[in-house]
Amino acid sequence: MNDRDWQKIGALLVESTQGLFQKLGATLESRGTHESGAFVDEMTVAVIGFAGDAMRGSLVIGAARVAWKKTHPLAADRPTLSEDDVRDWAGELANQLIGRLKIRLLRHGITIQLGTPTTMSGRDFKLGPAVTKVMSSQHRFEMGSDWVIVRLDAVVDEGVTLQEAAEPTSEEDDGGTFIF
Amino acid sequence: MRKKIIVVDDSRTARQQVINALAGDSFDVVEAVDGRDGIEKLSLHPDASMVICDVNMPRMNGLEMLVQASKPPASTVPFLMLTTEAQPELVQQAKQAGAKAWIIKPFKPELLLAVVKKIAG
Repeated sequence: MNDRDWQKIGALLVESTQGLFQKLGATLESRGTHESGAFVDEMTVAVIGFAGDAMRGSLVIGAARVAWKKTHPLAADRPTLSEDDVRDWAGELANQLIGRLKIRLLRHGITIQLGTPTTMSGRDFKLGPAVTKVMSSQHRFEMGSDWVIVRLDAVVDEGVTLQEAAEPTSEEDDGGTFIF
Repeated sequence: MRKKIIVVDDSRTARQQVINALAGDSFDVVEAVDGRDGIEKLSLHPDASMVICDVNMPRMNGLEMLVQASKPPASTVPFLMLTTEAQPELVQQAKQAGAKAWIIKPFKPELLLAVVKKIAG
């Protein structure tokens, strides 16, 4: 895949992330690239894998626990969310984010199937650099005084290009409903 | 009479969101953590009026559960798929397997409740 198409996928990732958080009532400002190797004091992270004929990889989303709590749908009912609550929500959000990205990739002719998320939390986190031949797109967002990191790593088959985007249908986005 | 709904999702936050959306109406909710657990809960609660089911789950995914639950002599309980997936092929698979509805997450609670009432009555 050429750099232009990979950058387009990076832009789709940014659009997907900001759109999802907006649905959750939070505004994310893109602050460019999150540098590999930077230590982060405290973070809860969710990782979800995906695979397809042309592209395989993983999505990572991480934020400080306070940021997860701000978007947690049950925060109003449970002022004292446990660490398990936060990790569970991080996993669910990773699932929702890769779902949004998946439908956008599909409009460009790339199909992926999704795995299930793994979550972790701790201190002094450091995301390592992407390994050779893996394309990596890393983004840092600010959410008020908090931050969110999103990273997509993928191996894309040689010669794969993004097709002209198909028009989205109204049902494809979140909240979309099909009654059979 | 209160209707029973089985909610199948590997995220307990997602399950609780559904429970909150249904709160206040006459529903009893049974929770299941994946498709296999959902099949077990369905056999324990054959009087369930409906299953609200995620798609991407460990052990047994929601589409596999739907197919297994629809095989005779299993019950003909209606399924509503509630998922982050929007791939047309998957939506079509669910429709062909007998699902009654498909809602893409994140969802509006009032929308979910309206669809549940329409399907479960």
